[in-house]
Amino acid sequence: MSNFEVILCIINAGFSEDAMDTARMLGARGGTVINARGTASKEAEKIFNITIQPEKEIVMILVPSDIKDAILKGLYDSVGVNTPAQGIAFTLPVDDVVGISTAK
Amino acid sequence: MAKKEISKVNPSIKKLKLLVTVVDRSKALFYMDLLEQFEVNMQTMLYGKGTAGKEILSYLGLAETEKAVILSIIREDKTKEILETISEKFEKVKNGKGIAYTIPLKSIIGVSVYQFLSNSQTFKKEAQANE
Repeated sequence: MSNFEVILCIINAGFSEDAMDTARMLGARGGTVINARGTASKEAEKIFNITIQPEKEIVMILVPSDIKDAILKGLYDSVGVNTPAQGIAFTLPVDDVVGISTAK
Repeated sequence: MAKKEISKVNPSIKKLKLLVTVVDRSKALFYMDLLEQFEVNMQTMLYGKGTAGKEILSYLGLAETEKAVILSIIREDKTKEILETISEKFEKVKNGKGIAYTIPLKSIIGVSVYQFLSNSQTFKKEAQANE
């Protein structure tokens, strides 16, 4: 029985396909996309005279622990902060998982 | 002062967990009602969409990718019971397939908030008696 972790990847709206393509290529089976709204500091926006796109998407991917590092690295490269997707990704430990086939 | 684990100081305090359930949107209310039977006082539903590839979907004859993500706060001692029930429903209910997992909560603040989330009215009295 392998342990699972959930990857949460917060990206600008419209990039969820890119994130999922990367994750799937690296061994993830599927994910769920949730629409979200980002909040940036209004002060900072005024000072630097930029607008931060508030429309975000959260991609939630449940993956076995042993491939999560590879997927995080992949996400950083394809939809990380230095790309138009301006994404951040992190994982949370997960205790019990049901409904996913654990057979390899 | 040495940090004591609060559940050891007061055994009536149970740890909480966040249960994340991803199911088809049409079955969301069914699963929320199901979870309510387990003294779950707070649940939130988010709308999401699945990302399974087109070819897999057509192969399985599925069309719906609209998903609901249900977040519920559950008590740790109820986890096993709840997950067993849910996984049984995943297999038996038509179009009821989904995944569920739990994330342990690290900290929480507020006595009444804790009572509400854990559905333990007795906690306050016991806590006062222990003071």
